[in-house]
Amino acid sequence: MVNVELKGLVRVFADGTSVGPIDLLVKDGELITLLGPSGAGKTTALRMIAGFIEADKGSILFNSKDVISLPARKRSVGMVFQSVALFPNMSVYQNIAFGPDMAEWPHERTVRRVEELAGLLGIQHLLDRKIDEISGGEAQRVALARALAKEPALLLLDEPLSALDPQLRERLQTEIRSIQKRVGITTIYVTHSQDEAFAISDRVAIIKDGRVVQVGIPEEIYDRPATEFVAKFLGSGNVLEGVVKETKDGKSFIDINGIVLDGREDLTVGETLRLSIKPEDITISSDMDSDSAKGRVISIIPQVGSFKITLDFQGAHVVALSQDEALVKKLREDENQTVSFSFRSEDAVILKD
Amino acid sequence: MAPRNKGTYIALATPLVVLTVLLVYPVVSVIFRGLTAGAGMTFTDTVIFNWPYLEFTIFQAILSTIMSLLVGLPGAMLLARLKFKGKNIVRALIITPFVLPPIVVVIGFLQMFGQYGVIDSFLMWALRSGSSVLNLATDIPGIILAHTFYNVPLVILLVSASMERMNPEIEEAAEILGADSLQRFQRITLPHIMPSLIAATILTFLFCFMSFPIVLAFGHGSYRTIEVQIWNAFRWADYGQASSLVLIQILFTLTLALAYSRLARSSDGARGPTSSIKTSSLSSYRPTEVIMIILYFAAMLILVVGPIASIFRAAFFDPIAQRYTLDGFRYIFSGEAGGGLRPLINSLFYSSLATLLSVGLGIPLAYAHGSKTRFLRPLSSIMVLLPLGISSITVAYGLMTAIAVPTGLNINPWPIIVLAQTVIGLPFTTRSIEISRRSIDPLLIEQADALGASRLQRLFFVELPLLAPGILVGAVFAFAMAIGEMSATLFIALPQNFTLAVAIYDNLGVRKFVEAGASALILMVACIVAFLAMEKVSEESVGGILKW
Repeated sequence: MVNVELKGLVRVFADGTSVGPIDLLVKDGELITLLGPSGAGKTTALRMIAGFIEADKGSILFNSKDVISLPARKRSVGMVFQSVALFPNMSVYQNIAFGPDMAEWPHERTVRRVEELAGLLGIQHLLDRKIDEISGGEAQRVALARALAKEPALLLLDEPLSALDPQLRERLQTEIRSIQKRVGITTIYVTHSQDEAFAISDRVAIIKDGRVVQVGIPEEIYDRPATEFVAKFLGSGNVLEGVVKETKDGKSFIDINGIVLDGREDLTVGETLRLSIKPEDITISSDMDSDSAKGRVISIIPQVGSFKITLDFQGAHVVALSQDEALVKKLREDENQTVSFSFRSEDAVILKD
Repeated sequence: MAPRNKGTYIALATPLVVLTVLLVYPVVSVIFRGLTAGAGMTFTDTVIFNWPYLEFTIFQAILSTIMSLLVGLPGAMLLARLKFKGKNIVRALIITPFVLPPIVVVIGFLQMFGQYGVIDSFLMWALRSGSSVLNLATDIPGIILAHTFYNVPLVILLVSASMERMNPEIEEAAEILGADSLQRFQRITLPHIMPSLIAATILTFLFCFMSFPIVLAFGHGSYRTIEVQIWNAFRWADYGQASSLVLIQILFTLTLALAYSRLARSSDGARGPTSSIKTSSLSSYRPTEVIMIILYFAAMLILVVGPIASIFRAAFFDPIAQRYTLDGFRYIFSGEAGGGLRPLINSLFYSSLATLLSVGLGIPLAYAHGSKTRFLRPLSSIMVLLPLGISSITVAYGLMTAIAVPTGLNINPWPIIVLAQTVIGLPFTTRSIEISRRSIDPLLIEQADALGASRLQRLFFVELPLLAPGILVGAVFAFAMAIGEMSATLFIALPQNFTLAVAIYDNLGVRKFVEAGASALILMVACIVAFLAMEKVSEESVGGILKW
């Protein structure tokens, strides 16, 4: 297995768009997801690692050895494609055995490997089928088996589940995760779905405009988004602007349209900041006597386990999640109500840019 | 669209009836009568006598097919994979031979590869020779080369279209699994393009098997195909032999046409994101590969562009007097007996009528083809396919014997010429109308219904306007086919019915080269203008007629 390190990887395309520089370390046996909106450069990055797109600058190190000059077929990489891309003129068995065949494995070893993977993925009964005789979910399993057959050092998955329906997608996420853990293969997974990334990854790298903006375990990224982009993309949503009002005893006080937060160090008075507050950290109350901030209710949308309440707070939208059914019922009876809301100072994250 | 009343049925059945009368009945009847009437050779005698010609027909068709595949396959791969400026122009140039009338191709070949042609003149100059050095536009080399010229576009079009439909990720998957470029071609690309390759092979073989003007012009009577022999036998009034040959030819061609239609229906299933076709620029190839690619394009330039460009020279250069002259154009606009004006007017008149008829039959035929009614759909498919498998000479022979003679039209058989041209062009017209019909959003029609349009209103204000581009393309196709048609017309025409295409052949026979050349130039310009118009209209509506 392998440690993968991307160093200053850059690609500039003829139409002027560019990706990179990308720096990223993928640890041995880890599953890391490149997460970002479409057009962010995730797939380009993946295809540079695979060897389908040449990098203009930078290096790709597999266990400290640069593979940038190797063609795709010599990089010891397995890949599952967005379109699945199974060979339509071959059976399931022939598809999975294609890699070992190309590597000229002895026949018995190939058969053993194909059967082992088929067992692992539960597709033994499909081995003799033609590709047009299997379902979408089965095709994904075959594609995964084919990618793993040659025992590659690194596995790449390019939005493999995007064409499947949500239930099947969820089931396969779990399967991919468990197989990846069992095989212990270093894996890079590309997706634009936050749910998928969080469900499957050891770590997530958020990609924007061809660069990695934040890397971390899912909880860390969700709780402490580094930038406004990350905060908004992950759906934690609330980004508010504040000004540093004063510093006292090494502590700074930030004013957000009347809400005062404390407890931050090393800030200069007068500095403007953007802060992210997760919806679940905001508490809504109908008690108007408190000195907490007030907002006008714009909409209430029921969700699984909670209600999503959007407030207008001096022109800015604030989204909060509430499980208080009595409160929601009351709010729904009379539209355009004003409520008070509050959150703990330490739940507000200062964003970098 | 499921027909809902008697009127619709009658409308849809009309072309089927017309084709039965104009195609099925004449052909069946000449075969039957020729074989039973006892005029001329028996079937067995025919087979024995024509054995060498049958052998030659198959031999030249196989050789031409192999050549077309060898030349066409690299072109298809380059067209699908190579990214370069002016690709559309190259594509259009490569397709051009396909729309040229065979007799025009003959003129271009004589001028490019023939005695005192462009290449010969160059060699004579280079070798300081006073006499002709190289004549490729005659006998077997001429036939094979001209057939190759004709069918390479077909191979390139069909195969490159299939390659472009291939999901590029499939090849990448093979690459990342360790397959090198040769293994990828063998195990992935070749199986994918195989149906289109077989289709191109069958069609090329079929066209070469039934080829008439090229074999007639370059064979000089010593190399004859079955098609030429049918014509000869008819001229010798040996109807027994002619009919026996028609039967033999039809057994071959219909089998092939049927095989082709089966294949066309079941062609490549797995399609990927066509937008992301993997192309690469010339700079990403190795130097030796670049040299090969450039050499290939140079060879194509000589083979494909050479004859087309040479037609201009043929129109002005008199190889006998070795001088440039405008006599060819004087001939065309001369209304005297033996002048070119009459054939020109005949050409325009006949092909206009054939166009009208083709469209009139093609629209209901296209609907019948798409209908879900039992009988109607398979019957119309067969009717559309039949002219592909029945040679022009056979069509002409059938119409002359079964329709013209009993009705007395053989005294002045111009209506028979129009009918023959209609029947021969109909599959192409129908096809382009059908493509357009299929691309109409059924919701639009339903919308018209929902808004309270009557059936007639719906037809005239919604369906026909939507179908208009397809009809226009079909009409231009019919016109180009009709105006270039020589085989059936030559078979049927009396001197007063000569069209420009027939007059070219006639002038060649009496060595009036500039007259033939000028006529060829006019035909070529007409066909190329028609082709460009077709491409323009169809690109705007259904994305290119040539993508079928």
